[in-house]
Amino acid sequence: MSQVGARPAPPILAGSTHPREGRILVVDDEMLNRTLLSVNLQESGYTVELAEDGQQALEMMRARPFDAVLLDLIMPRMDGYQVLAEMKQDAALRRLPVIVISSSDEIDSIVRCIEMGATDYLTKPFNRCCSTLGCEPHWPACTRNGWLHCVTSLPR
Amino acid sequence: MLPTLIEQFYRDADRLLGQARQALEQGQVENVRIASHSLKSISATFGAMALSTVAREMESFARDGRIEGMAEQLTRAEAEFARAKATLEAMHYES
Repeated sequence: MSQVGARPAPPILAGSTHPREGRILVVDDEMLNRTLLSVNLQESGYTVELAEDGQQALEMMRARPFDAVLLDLIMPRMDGYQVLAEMKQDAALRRLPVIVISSSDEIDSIVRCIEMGATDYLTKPFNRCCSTLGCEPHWPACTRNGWLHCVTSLPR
Repeated sequence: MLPTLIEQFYRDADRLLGQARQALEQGQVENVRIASHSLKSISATFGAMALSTVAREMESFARDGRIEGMAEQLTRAEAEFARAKATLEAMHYES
């Protein structure tokens, strides 16, 4: 199998304001979540593709290269855990960074995903303009692979 | 784009609350769980954390097959949705 799943991450420094590069696959069964993430990432300069379940996501990852995957956990047909397990069994996909999308109360799920090989996690809400509803914005710094930190600091 | 998404959030949350209400009245606990899970997810995405918390509790009850107390939770969820909607609309008019 050819190496379609992962490629070297662009060397973008933390705090950089330059447009970001990279192709990101957003996997979430909720259309609203997919759309909001897509808008934010595209505004930052990323190219975004969308999948609404794990099976579709794997098909897309095997068809063309991505730089990172944002992965929801509970989805119909194939959930995020199954996707992670399949990716780790696939030589072409096992190095592709996976950022798990979760609720902040799902710590056990997050730990399980990190143990399964996920790179990092992203908790909701995604957009800081929503913080006036009484929550803190939760944009974690996804810096372990050195470049996806910036989905966090989007002006509105 | 954002106002359009917020309007979609209103529609989806309203639909999911209706689905949960109908499923509860018909005793279909699994359908209550599915609707509650989606409601938990999209409300957290839009920062409506009180609504998300009630939806998470409903999901947990439904997963355990517990019907008692669910109607009260659903009423709380509907009230939290109304509050979230009022807050978001106030933000919209301020901006």
